Amino acid sequence: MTRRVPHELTCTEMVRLVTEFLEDALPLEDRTRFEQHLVYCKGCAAYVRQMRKTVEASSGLEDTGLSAEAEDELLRAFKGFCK
Amino acid sequence: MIAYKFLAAGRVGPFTGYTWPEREWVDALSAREGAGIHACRIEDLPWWIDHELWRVELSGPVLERETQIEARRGRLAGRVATWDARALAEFGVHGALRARDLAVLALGDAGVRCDDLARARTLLDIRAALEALPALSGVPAEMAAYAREACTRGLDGAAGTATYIAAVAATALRGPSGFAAERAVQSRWIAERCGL
Repeated sequence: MTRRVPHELTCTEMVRLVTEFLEDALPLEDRTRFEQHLVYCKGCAAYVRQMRKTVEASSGLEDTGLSAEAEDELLRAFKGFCK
Repeated sequence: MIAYKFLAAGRVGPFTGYTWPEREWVDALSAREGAGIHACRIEDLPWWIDHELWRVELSGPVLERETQIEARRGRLAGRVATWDARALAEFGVHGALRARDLAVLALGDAGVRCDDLARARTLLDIRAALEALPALSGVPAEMAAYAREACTRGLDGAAGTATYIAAVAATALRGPSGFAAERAVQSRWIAERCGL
């Protein structure tokens, strides 16, 4: 949303922190700011709901194996995405 | 100690998904700070609005933080009936009207005539008055944009967003202290509207 207010999280930062939020691994101050953002940002609130559902759904999937090549490619793509 | 707690419809914790029982004590998940029962003082309410507002009885030591309090045990002591769908929508309108008021101040300071905007009584009229303004730049343009967005969100029923925008607008106009000052205005509005 905006950087007018110091110390508030932007939507981009929310996306980067969502895994830690869902794993309850955020420091308390960051968790509080994350939750406050969800109150006023409907887009991020929907995103977190979707991520929660995705985690729930994928936890029931069987591991059918992934080649080392494919795993490397995925990790490279993910690292590039995070830059 | 009696405090307040916002929950999603059906007594559901908005971040945990936990469905609160009525009047039964609930213990913290662990002794770790942050894992306790979170609640609001009246001044904290605007930060956490949701569909249902409950009085919550807290037990044991209570940690006080900037925008919330936390205890080891808590139980719902009764719903605040005056906070309903209508109050939530009105809170959003309040945010939009405040964003308009702040825009009027900024426009006046910049020498821009905005009588229609100042007089407008509905969010649709405010939006129409904003559209009729001359081309703006700098802070007046920013303030008009906040007012426009707050009206849109208020009309959509996104009260949390509309009131947040009002607080951001106050920051734009008055500096860093503006945000907390606007949240204080909003907490007084909730307290008066709900008879807290």
